[in-house]
Amino acid sequence: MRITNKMINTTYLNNLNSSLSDLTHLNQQVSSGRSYLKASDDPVASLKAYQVRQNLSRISLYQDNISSAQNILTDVESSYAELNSVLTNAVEKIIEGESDNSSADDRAIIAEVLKQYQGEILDIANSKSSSKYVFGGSDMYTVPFSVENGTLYYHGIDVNSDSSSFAEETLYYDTGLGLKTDASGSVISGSAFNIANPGSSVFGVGVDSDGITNNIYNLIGDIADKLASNDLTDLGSYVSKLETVKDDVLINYANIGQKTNFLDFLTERLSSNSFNATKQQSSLECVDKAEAILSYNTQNTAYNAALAMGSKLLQYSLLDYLR
Amino acid sequence: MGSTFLGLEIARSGLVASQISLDITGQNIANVNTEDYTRQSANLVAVNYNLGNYQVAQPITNTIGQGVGVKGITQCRDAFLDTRVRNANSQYNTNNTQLSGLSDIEGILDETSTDGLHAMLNEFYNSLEELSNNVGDEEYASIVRSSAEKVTQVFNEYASQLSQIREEQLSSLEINVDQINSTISKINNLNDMIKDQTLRNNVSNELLDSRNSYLDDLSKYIDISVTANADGTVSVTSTGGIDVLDSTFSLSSSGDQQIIQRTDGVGNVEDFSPTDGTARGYLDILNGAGSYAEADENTFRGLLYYERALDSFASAFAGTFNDLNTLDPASPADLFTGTTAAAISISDAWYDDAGYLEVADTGTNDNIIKMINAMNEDVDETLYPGVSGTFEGFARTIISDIAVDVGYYTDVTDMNKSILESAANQRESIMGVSVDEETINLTKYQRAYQAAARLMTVIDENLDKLINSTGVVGR
Repeated sequence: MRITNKMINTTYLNNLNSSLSDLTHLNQQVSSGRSYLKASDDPVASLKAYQVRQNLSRISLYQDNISSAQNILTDVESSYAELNSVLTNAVEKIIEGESDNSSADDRAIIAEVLKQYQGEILDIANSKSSSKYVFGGSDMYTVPFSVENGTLYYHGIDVNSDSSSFAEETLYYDTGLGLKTDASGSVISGSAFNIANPGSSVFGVGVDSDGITNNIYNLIGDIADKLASNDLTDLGSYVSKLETVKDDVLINYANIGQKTNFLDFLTERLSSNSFNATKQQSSLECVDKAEAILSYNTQNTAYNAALAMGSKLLQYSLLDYLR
Repeated sequence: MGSTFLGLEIARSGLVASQISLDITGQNIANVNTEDYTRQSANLVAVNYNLGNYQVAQPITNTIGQGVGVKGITQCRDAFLDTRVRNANSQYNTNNTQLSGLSDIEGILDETSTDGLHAMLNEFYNSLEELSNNVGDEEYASIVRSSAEKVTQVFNEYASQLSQIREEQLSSLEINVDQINSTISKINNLNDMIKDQTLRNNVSNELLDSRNSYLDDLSKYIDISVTANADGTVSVTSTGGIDVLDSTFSLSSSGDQQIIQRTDGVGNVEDFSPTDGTARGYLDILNGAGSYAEADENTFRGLLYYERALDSFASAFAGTFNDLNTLDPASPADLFTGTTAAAISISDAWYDDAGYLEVADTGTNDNIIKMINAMNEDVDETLYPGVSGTFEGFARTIISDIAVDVGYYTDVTDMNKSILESAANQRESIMGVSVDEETINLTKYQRAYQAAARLMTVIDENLDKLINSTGVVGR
């Protein structure tokens, strides 16, 4: 092939340009630390990276959800502990009042103490965990329990009403279990974490077959009334009812522990997911520094060599040698 | 028996030929860096012995030629390579124009180092989750509202930036059409001049160079095929066999489609759609509707594709959440108004009251859960044609479409560029000036000139001897 001076110039310039553009690209990689700067540099990696970004964002969301569920559960747990100790004290006092050694006056005093315990129980039932009522069931923003004219209401319903008047309450937190809803749009339990601790089930509602209330607050109130009026008939069955209710509280208490354990398990799993996703993200989006710098230096050498060669290549022609 | 002075005549023709060759060498050297200059060389021929019109047989034994003649000055150019270069030039410019338009679009949609639609949808999703955990807290409802507003603002911004690109591309195409027209008129002028000179048998190579250069220019804008005619002119045809030199091009539009129209010499107007060249590239970017193309529309993934995708997206997004927020179909409670990317915004009712967002239908937060689910589930394509996958997934699809296309057209453009470079290099290897070669020519013709001059001296001396020193015996 015939070679002309212009061809040498053009070819040299083209090569120099492509060499410089490679150098710029590597320079951007090294200085930005990213393996690609636009999605089109590596469409496949960028598509994956977007998915990983979404994944990471979801994981951190689930972690937030779990940690706020854990906060609530911790407060529920301590409320149970308090409730349990109040009930233990109450049972002691009642047994004291029940004994034949107590006089009517003693019983009246004990009744007063029980009324105080009632107040404490109400406080526990309305206890808050950072602006949320932990026993509010699915509505954690309004005071769940209120007392009007000696009657205890749960979200406006008399707790002694039939248990069928109390709807089943749920409040689902999405903890990465694959939130799913059924056809009617309600969450399928098991696909999300139910954080609701409805006061109705914790403190009991309705009355049993003997006409004795299932509600802890009311039960203690009834016992106090009986002691105050020095009326010991049926007191035994009330006391045994209180024992049953107290056992239920302990069982619920234990269940909370189960739930907390489950959340701990989820936290662990999410943090390992998060670690993997972060690793994946960095392998997709971040450049291997050592490799990038090495390629940069190689390219830099090539560019310098091209420049040095150009200064020799472009200056000569036969004219330089003829006289 | 040859003529006495034939030798002098031969020497003269040698001097003249060398002189002309030296001048041409000079012209070549002077134009070594001239763009589009074609190397020239003198067409030297040996002049044959003139047998004359003898009517009788006469044995001639010493038929020596009668020197050298300059038959013409030719251009060293290969028409086949011209065709190759022009085809490659059209192809390269198609892809390069497509690439630059697509890169502009990518600049808007790509979220590699910025936050765009995908990030905003993700934020909206997170705010819904937060609300579902904190139902009843007005503050969280207003966070959902502000992140929904951000989603709509991103839609608006994308739409306005895409329309800005549309304007830029359109004005580039307008300039392009003007350039095509002015190039055509220049070629026509040159054709006329060359035709005149051909009649006078006196064609200037520099005019041919100039016409070739305009033809190269024209091949950048549209695909052309050039045929040389006997009268020295060239004919240029393009897609559909139209006579380019007999055309005036103009721009027109129908709906959202841009059309190039061709008016021929007698005023007939027809649509013209070149298969290659920058004009093709601009048309693809402007009219390309990809999978949203209706019958007869351009299926390139250009501006229309992204505009329609975003419009479908905005409409599906607004529709889905409006439906979810409407608990009683008799009284619609729209969260969003507008069904295009440019027009979508949150509704006035929601703007006035964050609590306009229906948190619960029958349970506590079940309506929000439904919305969260709507973000996780695939969009109903029967209701919202043109949208596939989840909302976030569709946002990713759009980004990856543009990324894949830019990646592909970068490669194709690079490839076509190297094809063009190699074709141009081959052509340059024929038509380009080599300083080495011209230096050799300088020496060659200088020597030839010296030799012819010497021949003249020799013959002169011989004649001197013959005339002045012969037959002087006994003087």
